[in-house]
Amino acid sequence: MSDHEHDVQLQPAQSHLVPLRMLFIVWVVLCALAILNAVLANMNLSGAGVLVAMIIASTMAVIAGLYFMHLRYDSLFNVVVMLLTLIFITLFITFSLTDTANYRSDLIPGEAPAMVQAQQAHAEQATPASKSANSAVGQ
Amino acid sequence: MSEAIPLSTNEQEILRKHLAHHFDTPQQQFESGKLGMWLFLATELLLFSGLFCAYAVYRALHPDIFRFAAQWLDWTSGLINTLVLLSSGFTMAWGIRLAQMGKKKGLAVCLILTMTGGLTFLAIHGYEYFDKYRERLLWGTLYNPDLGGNGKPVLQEASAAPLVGGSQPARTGDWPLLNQLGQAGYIVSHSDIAPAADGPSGIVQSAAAEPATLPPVQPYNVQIFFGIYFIMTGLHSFHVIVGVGLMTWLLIRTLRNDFGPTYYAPVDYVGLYWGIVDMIWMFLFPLLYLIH
Repeated sequence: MSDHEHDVQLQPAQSHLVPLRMLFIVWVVLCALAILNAVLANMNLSGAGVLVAMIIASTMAVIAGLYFMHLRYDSLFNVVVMLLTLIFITLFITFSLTDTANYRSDLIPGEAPAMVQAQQAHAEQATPASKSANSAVGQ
Repeated sequence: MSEAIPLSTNEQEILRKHLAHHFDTPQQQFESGKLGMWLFLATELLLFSGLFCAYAVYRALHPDIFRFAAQWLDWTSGLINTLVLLSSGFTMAWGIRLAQMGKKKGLAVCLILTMTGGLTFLAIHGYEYFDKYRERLLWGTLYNPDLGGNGKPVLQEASAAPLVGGSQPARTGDWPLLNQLGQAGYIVSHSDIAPAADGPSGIVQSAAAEPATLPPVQPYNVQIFFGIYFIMTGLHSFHVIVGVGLMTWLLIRTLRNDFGPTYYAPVDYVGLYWGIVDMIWMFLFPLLYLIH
């Protein structure tokens, strides 16, 4: 620390001052999106539900990153670090899922006898119950 | 870069005190620290991505387990926790703004509010954990909920459950571990996925439409969902605990008058950390609490 000559005038680090109004709006928008996510989930969108929930969550993360974490006003290099991380995570998860889908044990007959047997037994167990329920209704 | 502002000797002293010898200017030091922080946050995301991947693979293979387990996850407490965490993110960002402007009292209040948010989050989560513990909704062999009554599905008799290799003793040798589990009363491997068609072409029949209601019987291996639930929320809660610790440290330094418009880098860095904790929860909430 004493390496710096005392006659050199230092200037404090400058960084962007995010307006309070902006922070408040971001907070309100984030809360609204969280509530929207919960409401949509309760509306039972079935298959599209996960996709919609993930799109809303990603939007929230981007907004929080840009304003709460100052990425919008920050050095571009920090944004690049974040983007590379996200690209890697996307690759990681999609490739794992693709792989899992291709090697699903029950796609190849005889490859997972335990699973097939378990399913058959499961189906057999379910049928007598429904039959007796039907006959009860018939009587 | 802004114009040079004339500073008092005291301010010059503060800048000199905090400037490490390997940096030329406070600006360079601040930017480097920020880059270091972002790299650390990138590793944090990669750490969590492994868990998200486990979640994605397991949910893709066994959607029935997730639908079944979802009945025990209370989305209202999840939503309240989300709002609490978002609010603490807001007070943290506000605190950074106040630190930049040199308003020490405001910064202290914001730090206390952020800490309160973190502690409230932990309290609500702790209650959820306690609830799961009481109902024995835990990982591995500790998963043992009472499924009778309360309109919840009734568990199959373990003895009636299909055990591995039952009618094909020749096969059992191939699956020593699964067989052992089966003999130990474990219920092994069942999934929603339609079995492969028997035809010579091997074409798989299209899966039946997903049932709108809960499966009538408990799917196998629900304990793995709770393993994923506890490790994901547990690791996140650990980060919240660390965050509260960092807030305490910042608060002590604020009260000691360490921060001002000329030096507030630690507040900024902790703010980034708190932001990533917020961000991860934004994904955990829909993935764990909003399954339908």
